[in-house]
Amino acid sequence: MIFSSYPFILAFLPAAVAATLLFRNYAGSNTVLLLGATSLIFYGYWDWRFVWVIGLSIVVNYAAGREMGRGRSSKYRRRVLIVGIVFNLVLLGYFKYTDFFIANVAALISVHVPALNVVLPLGISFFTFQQIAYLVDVYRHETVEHDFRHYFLFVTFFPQLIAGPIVHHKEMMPQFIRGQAGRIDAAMAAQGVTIFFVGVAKKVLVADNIALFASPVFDAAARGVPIAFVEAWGGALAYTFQIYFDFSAYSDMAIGLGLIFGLRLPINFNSPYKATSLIEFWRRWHITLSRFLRDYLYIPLGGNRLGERRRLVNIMVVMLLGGLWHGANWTFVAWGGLHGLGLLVNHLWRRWPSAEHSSRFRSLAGWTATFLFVIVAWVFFRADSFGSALNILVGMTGTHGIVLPDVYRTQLGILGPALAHAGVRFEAVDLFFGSIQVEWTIASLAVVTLLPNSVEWAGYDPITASDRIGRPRWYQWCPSVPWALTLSALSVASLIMMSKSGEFLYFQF
Amino acid sequence: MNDEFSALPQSVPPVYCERDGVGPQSRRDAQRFLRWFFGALVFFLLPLAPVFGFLYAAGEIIGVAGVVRHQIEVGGVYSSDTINLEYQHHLALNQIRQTTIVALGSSRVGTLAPDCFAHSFVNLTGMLRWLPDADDIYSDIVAVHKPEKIVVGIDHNWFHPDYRLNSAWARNSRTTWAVSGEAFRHLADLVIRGKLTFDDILRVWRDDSPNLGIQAKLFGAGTDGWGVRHWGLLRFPDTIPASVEAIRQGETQGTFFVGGHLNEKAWRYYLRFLERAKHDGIQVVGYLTPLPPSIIDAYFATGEVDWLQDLRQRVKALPDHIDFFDPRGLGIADADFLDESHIGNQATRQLCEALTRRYPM
Repeated sequence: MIFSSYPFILAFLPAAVAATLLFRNYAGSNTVLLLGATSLIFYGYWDWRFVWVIGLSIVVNYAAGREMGRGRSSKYRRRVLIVGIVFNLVLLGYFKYTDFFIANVAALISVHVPALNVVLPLGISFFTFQQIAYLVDVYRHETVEHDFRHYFLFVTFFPQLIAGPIVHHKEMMPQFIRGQAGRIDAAMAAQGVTIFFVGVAKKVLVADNIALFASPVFDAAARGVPIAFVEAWGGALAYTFQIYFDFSAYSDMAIGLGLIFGLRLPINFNSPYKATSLIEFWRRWHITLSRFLRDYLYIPLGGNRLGERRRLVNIMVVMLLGGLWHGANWTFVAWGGLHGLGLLVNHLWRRWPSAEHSSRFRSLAGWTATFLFVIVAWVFFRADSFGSALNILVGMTGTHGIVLPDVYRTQLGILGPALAHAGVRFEAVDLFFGSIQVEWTIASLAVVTLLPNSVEWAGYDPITASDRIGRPRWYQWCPSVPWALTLSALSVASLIMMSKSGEFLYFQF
Repeated sequence: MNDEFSALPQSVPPVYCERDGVGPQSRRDAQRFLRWFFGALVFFLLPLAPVFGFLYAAGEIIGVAGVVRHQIEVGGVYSSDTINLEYQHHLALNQIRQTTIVALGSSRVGTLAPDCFAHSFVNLTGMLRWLPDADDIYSDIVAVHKPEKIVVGIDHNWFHPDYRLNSAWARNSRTTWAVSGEAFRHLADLVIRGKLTFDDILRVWRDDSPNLGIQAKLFGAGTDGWGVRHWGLLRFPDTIPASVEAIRQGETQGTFFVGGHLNEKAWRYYLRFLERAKHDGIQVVGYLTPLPPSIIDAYFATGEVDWLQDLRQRVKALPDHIDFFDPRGLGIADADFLDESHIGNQATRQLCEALTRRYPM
C-alpha cells in the first residue's frame, strides 16, 4: 500500500485515525502499541508472509539492546554488539544481496548458477539501518530502551517504515515518553494534513508525469538503441526531476502523517538542487541516510581524525557502500563512487585559498557544476546496466550525433539552416516529446531552485518544534480558510489524477 | 546530536496566522482549517459517488482481471470509454487463452477472427501502434505466453518520419492503469463534449446485456473474449472523401503522409522485432494493412510517395510477408471500409482467407 493510493487515503488512513481517536482514551500508554499494530497491518498489506522478517528483526535487536543495557563488562557488550550487527547485516545481505553475490561469483568463475530470486521485504534497508544505529547507541551508553512497546513503534511506525526517514532513537523516544504518539492535536494535524497532501500532489501531479519522459529513454537504452543528444539530455533531466519530486513527495507524506499522529519526524530532504557544492548537496539530499553514514560508518572509520589522506579514503568507502545500500547492482556502486570522487574533489577544492571568497558568480558556477554532476550521476543510478548508462552518457556528449526533432528545422527560423550547417541533423526523434517536455523541464527547474520547499512553506521545524515565529508571508501556509480551500482543491485534483501513480522510487531500496 | 529533541516542549506551538505571530486562538484556527479542508473535500468528492456507481455498473472500472473473468464466464464484449486498459486486456487474453496464433497490430487488425484459422487464435489488436515500443511489447507478450505464430498487421504510416502517437501519455499505453479517478475525468469530458447524453446514461444503467463498458453497452461495440473487435451498431461517417482531399492538399493528418523518405529507424525496429521472434522460434507472418482504393489513388496522384513504394518493396522482400496495401486484388472496394482505414468484417474475411491460403495456419 503506497501513501498516494486510494486504499491508503480513503480506507487505511481514516481507519487508523478513527481507531486512534476512539481507543486512545482507553488505551492510555498502550496507544503506542495500537499505533504499532496499525503499522504492522500497513506492512502486512504488502505481503503478510514477510511480517515475520520485521518481527524477528525487532525482537532480536530489542533483546540485544536490553542485553547490552544490563551493564555487563564492556567486552561482553562489545560481543553482543557484534552479534547484533552481524545478525542485521546477514538478514539484509540474504534478502538484498544473495542473488547479486551469486551472479558475481558465478561470473568470476565462469559457471552458470541460477538465481534464487529472493524477494526483497519492503523497507528492510531502512529498518535494518535504524536498528544498527540503535544498537551502536546502546553500546555507547547513549540510550537504552526498556519498554518493548516503544521500541516496537520506533521501528514499525508506518509513515517512516518503508522508505525512511531513518529515525534516530533519540528523536522518537522522548516523544513516546511524553505521550505524543497518537495524540491527535488539531494544530499539528492541520499542518500534517497540509504537508501530506502537498506530498500527494507532488507525487501524483508531478513525479508520475515527468516519469513518462524519463522511462522510455532508459528503457530504449537498455535495449541497446543508440540514444541521441536531445533524447539523452531530455531523459536524464526528466529522471533528475522525477526522483526529486518522488522522494521529496514521500518525505513530505511521511512528515505529514507523523504530525497527524502527533509525532515529529526529522526532515529528510531540504531542496538539494539548490546546493552550490556537492558537500552541500549531501547535506540536503536524504539527510537521515547521510547522517547515519557519517555517525555509524565515516566516524568509526576514523573520519577526519587520521589525516587528510585517510579522510579522503573514508569518504570514498562511505560513498561506495552508500551506493551499494541503494541496490544490489554495480550501477549503484558506480553512482556512489562517482559521488565519492566528486566529494573528494570538492574537499580538495575547498583547500584552495581562493575558494573561500564567495560571490554571486562563484555561487552560480558552483550550482551549475553541482547540478550537472548530479544529473550525470543519476544516469548510473537509473540505468539497469553500465551499457545502458554509457549509451545515454555518450548520447549526452553528442557522440551519437546531435539530432534535433525535424519539426524544429522550420520552427527555429534562420537558426535551423545554421545548425544544419554546423552538423546538427534534423530527423525523427522518438524519445523526445518536444515542447511539452521542454515546458515540464523548465517548470520543474524553476520550482526546485526558486521556490521554498514544502516544509519551509508550511513552517515545519522538527528540531525546535517552534515552527514559524513571526507573521507568515503572503505565500506561506498558515491554518486559514483560504489555504484550507486551496489545499482541498489540490487534494481533489490529486485524487482524481491518482490513476497512474506508480510506486515510490525509494521503496525499492 | 539532535539532543534538541529531548528538549521538545510539552505543548507544541503551531504555525500562526495572526499578525504578531503568536496568539491564543491558534488551536481554534487549526480546527477551523480542518473543518473547511475536509468540508470542501467532501463537497467536491460527494457528487462523485453516484458517478462512481455509474462507472461501476457500466463495467468501466472493474479492472482487467474482472473484465477477463467476466468474458470467460459470461461472454460479451468490452470497450471502455474512460480508462485505457486495451493493452493490459489483450495481454491478459494472451496469457489465459494460450493460443497457437496471435494477431498483433493496431486497431486495423481488430476484425481478424479465430474462425479464419485452423489453429487456436487470439487477437492482440491495438497493442502495437508505435514501432519504438515493439521490443517491449514483444517481451511483454512472450513473457506471458509464447505463441507459435504471430500475424502482424503492418500499418504503412508507422514508417514515415512524421508519424507520432498523439502524446507522451498515449505512448505509455503499456503502463498498467489502475482502476481509478482517471475515469471520472474522461467521463466528464465525454459529457461536456456531448458524446454521452442523459439518455445514454440511462440506457447504460438499464442495460442487462453481458457487455462491459459504456460503448459496449450502448452499441454492442468492443473486444470479445478472443480479442476480436466488434463494431456493433456503431456507424462511421464517410471520412474517405475528406482524407482523399487532405492527401491531395499534401496535409498530413497524423495518418497519411506525403513526401519524405522512409524512416530507417522504424524499419530497424521492425527488423529487430522479426529477429527476436525468429530467435525464439516464432514464425511471423506479416501483411501491409489495406487502405481504401480511393485513398491509394490519391496517394499516388501526388507523386510524392517514394517512401511508400520503398516500404512496399521492402515488405514484399521479407520472408512470410505480403502486401495487401492495395486491396483491389482481393476484391475489396471503398465500400468495404468502415472509415478511411478500417476494413469491415466481410473484407477482413476475404483478406484472412487470402493470407491463410498463402501461409496455411
